[in-house]
Amino acid sequence: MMTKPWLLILLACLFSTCWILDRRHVFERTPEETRDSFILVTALIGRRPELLKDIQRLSKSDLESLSYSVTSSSTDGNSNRTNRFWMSDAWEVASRYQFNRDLKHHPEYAQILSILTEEKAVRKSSKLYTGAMGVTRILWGHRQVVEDILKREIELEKSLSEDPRMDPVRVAMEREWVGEQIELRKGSFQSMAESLRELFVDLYGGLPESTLQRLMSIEPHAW
Amino acid sequence: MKMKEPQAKKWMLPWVLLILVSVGMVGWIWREQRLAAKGGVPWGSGQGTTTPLSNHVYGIQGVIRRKLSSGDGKWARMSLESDEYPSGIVSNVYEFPSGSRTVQVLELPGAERWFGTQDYEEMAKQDFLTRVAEEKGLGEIKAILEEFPPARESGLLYSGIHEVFVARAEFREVIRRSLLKVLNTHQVVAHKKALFATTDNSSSVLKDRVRVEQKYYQRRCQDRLKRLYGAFPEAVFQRLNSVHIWGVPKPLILPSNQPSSPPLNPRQSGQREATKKIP
Repeated sequence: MMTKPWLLILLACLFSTCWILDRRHVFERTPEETRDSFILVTALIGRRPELLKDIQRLSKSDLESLSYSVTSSSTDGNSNRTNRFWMSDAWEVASRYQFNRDLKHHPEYAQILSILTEEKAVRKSSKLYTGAMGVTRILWGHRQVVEDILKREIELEKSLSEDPRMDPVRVAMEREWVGEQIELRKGSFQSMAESLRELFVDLYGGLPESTLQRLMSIEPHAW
Repeated sequence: MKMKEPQAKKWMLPWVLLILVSVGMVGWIWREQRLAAKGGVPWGSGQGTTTPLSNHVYGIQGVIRRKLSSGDGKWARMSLESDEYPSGIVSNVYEFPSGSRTVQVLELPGAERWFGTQDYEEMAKQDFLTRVAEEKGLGEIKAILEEFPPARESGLLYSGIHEVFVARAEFREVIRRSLLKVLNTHQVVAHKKALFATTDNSSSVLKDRVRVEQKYYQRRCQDRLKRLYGAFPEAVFQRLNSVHIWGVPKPLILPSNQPSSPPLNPRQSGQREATKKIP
């Protein structure tokens, strides 16, 4: 071995190549991502102690999946408020990863950030992404209600056109029934707006109604 | 000294190899990082995705041309060039990702002739008063516009309300038609292969079409509000776009100047749209 030092050097090269390949996530990671990994791992350490061992190896996609572990641990499955990480730094970091992931598919979400950052209360709060994620959820809820209402209207038109000799009384009854259903669905706009108002009170001490309206004008394009 | 020369040559090859491998590794990591950055979020810095609109009058007097695209960067897959004539006739030329084009001709309510006059305002006010009870969104539009001093003081408040009413109804109509999947039936069927070659699937084309059409109605409304009130702040316009409209607006026609064929309402305009391929 001593007579062939080049062999030693080649082995060293091979070893260092493997080491760099193994650790390239760490080299690619920005200081912010390193800090994020510490925040997320610290939050999840109770449930997943093995994360501490792998903390240096966590890649950006690992952080994204960890962010879902943080936000999906609500006790009743519906309200974020029951989640023990709600309003914590871990929740904000998790929201940032999820929001940026959504942003790749919905460029219109960039408007949410620009509208929210115009508010001084938001800039001071360090809870920008928590609010932004709350807005995206409400926007999706809106979209689903709009779609549902339009589908009901389309179905009604279709069923009426299929049988033009339908009894006029039955037609009127059907119209009234669908109309009631639609009115009921429209009522959920109000409740969604109210829940967003409450979220803003929790996060920023409240935001003006005009800001809420501006946020509600953003249309998620995924038809 | 003579003994040391071959020793140095012996060490040369491994050192060169080591340097080459190191340079290769550094280059490879740098390339990976660049690729990752390129595939990131182009809107991460909060830029808007609307393209600037150029309105100009050419040839025939009073024609308004609008140019729009479905987005910025990689999202700019579909573009629309629209000419709006004073009669209310609109010709839209859509350019698809495959390079093929579609012409759509439709008629929109709100002909140019009376727009911005006191007669038009009176008609718009009458229309508002008769519909506000059933169409709650009209009240919301009025409340938002009243907070904007140029609109409040212009004496053309109801004309603006009617414009927003039409735009929001058209916006909803685009969604309705996309649910019916009738937006670009002709082109998707005729150019299926070409579209598939440039996009993931036909649903992405439909999505782009929805995006560009909705942008068009928003842009048209914004232009017309600017004509009524001068500069129109983006923030006020965003607020107006949060209003939900469910009814179909009626065209405002002055009794003394009724055209021989009545203008179409938005739902009818969608049905009457004529689509053909440009060679």
